[in-house]
Amino acid sequence: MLPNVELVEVWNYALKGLNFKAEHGCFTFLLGPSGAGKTTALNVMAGLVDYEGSVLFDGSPVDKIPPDKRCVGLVPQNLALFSHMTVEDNIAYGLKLRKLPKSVVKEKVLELAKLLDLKHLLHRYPGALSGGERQRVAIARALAINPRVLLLDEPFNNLDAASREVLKLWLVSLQKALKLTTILVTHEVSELKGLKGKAVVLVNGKAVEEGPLENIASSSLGQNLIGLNLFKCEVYEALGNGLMKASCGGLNVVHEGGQANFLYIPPTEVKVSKDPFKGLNAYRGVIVGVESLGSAIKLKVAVGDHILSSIQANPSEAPSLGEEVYVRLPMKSVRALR
Amino acid sequence: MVDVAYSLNKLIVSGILVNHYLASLIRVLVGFTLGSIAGVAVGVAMGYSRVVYDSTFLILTLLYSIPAVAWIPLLIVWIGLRELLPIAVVFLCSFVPLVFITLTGVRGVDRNVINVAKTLGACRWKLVTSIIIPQALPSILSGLKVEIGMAWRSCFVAEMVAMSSGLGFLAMEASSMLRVDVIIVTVTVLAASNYLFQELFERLELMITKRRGDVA
Repeated sequence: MLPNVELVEVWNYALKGLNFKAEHGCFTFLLGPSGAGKTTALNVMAGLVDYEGSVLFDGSPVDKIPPDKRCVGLVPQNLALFSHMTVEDNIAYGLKLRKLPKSVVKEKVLELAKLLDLKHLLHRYPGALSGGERQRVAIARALAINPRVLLLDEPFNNLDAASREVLKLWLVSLQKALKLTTILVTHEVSELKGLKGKAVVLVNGKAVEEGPLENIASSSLGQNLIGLNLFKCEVYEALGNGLMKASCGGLNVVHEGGQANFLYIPPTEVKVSKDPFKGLNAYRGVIVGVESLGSAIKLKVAVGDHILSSIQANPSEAPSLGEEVYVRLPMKSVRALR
Repeated sequence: MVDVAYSLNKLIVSGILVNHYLASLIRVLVGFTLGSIAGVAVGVAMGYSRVVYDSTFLILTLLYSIPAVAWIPLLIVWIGLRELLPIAVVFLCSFVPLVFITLTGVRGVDRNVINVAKTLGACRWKLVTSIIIPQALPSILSGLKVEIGMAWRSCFVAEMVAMSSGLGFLAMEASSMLRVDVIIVTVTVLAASNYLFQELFERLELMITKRRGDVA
């Protein structure tokens, strides 16, 4: 059977030659750290951002088809419900645009409301719904147009554990009932426990690993996906004394532990300073993100093509956004993943 | 105070105040409605299209710095002392601010909301009418609430200078006869009108935001 959705050598500001296939009627999970290009990949499939390369639906390119004609069901991370419409109007929106008879629209809305247990909420506005209810409305709205593919961006975000499990059950039952090709994006592999399908790991805009979800989730790569500092190693050079020099997309990293497919550096180990570092694995970078974590601060530092994540214990001394800094990856902190 | 109350009663009973008030009211309503519609339309177009934004931003910014009443001398020459004059002044004082208020509202619409509407099949026109304008509506209503006061004030000034009817004219006529009581009546009616319209927009805004669950 032809793959339902295929990305072939897709390039843009966030994707660096992304290739993957989502099988017809199955779940495909796009995994990877923040900034890996997962959301951009969904937007590419929906036709919402510019790209080079090709997107194929059932083997046919859809690159020239605008988003309003691609028939893709999109559920963004923040759900993007139409706050000025009732639940009923939200679900019916795509159907009304297709100028279907009122009776058909009503029937379809009721069918979806029944399927997703929204019947009692049809006349409410999104502002009056719980997180789980809002999530179901967004899915119902996306399903109303009978999409060729359903795209879910971090659907479990902002849901408590109970709502997350309920949503998983909904997704599984929808999958069985509608035989949907569903592409689900997440950075948290642990959220997917209980789901089955193909997993594609994205790092820096490229698919670095593919396989059944259960295999990926149990791999060291899967376990480390939550961290941002994961690099695919391309070229190796042995330096002697057990040291290896790996080239990771322009970033040269010296480490111990032999040749590896990926290098991972925990954010807490990445040193950032306004003064230059001496020794190996020292780079110059620019602060592109500052996020307060209470007593600590999370910095995102652009080093070449990479974004490094660093957690600093002392927020008061942290550099500010846009500031030029020096970064060091202590050799002993670099973990080689095979 | 008693004189003012007496004058108010007399002006109402004689129908003078009602006639002048209605003249002002029609001018404000016509000028404000047209100015607001045009302002919202241009604001939406600027927010949606970079080309429209680039081609209109400079001229509108320059226009924004000119107070509406400063147009009166020019409008007298262009239009003459006709009914259209105060309407044009009210139009100008509503149009430009509404452009910028709408532009801010449109830019504040969540990009994801627009993207989802696109994937559901919304063409440009539908996107504007069914998503962008309704989503920007609370901002637009806030703008209308502020600008209605400016519309009343501008109309009053235009009537003082160039018209033979309306609250502004009545105040000017009373001034020439040193009738302070009548002047106070006209400015009080002006303030009350302004208050009523602001209250109307305030309630509309609250109704919409409450219904959407934006406020408790």
